[in-house]
Amino acid sequence: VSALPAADWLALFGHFLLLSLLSIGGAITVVPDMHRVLVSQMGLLDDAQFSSSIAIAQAAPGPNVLFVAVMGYQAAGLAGAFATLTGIMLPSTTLALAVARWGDARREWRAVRAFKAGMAPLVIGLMLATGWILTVEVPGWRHALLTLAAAVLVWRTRVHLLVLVAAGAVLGAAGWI
Amino acid sequence: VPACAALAVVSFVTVGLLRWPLVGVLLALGAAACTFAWLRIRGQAAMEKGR
Repeated sequence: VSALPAADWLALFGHFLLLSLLSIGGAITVVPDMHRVLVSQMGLLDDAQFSSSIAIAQAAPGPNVLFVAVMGYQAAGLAGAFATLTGIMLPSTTLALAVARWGDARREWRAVRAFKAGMAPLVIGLMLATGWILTVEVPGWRHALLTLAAAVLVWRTRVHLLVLVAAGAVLGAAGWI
Repeated sequence: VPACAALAVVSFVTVGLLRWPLVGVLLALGAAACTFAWLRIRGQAAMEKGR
């Protein structure tokens, strides 16, 4: 973990502030853009570090958004974790507190209904993009097969997510992936 | 449903495959999607009113 120049730290912080306002459907939907900036643009993480940041945080107890802090820590230590986590939390939390009551009181308005209905398919597309980026950047095919199997199981069955996480851990420990 | 599927596919392709910046995609595609939804809801309301 290396220290980040102030200009890069500010760029990282600013980008996560922006992503926070775009994270309709949760932070996981903006993972493709995090990858674009952290891996492709700034070169702070490689593909394996990026994927493992999400995997570690998703498997650990606590809010899923913590993967953002793991990413920031891997990129630039505690300062990086502070930049990414504060950046992703601050605007969306403030906005939610400010407009939640307003939106709830006007949920029957045509514009509010149209916003919810219009953004839903985009969120689905962004979640698919997240899955795609996490899968395709890692060499090999077994992890892709496991991803597909997990997606089908979640979709078609009621198997508990922890069972899938445990199965993935066992397969990884056994060296299958 | 076809329109929703098309919107989901376009957002997947532009962000996941083409790696376009999210802010532009969300502003352009989100505006189009919300406008489309608004028109559909208005159309449904007009139909219900006409019955």
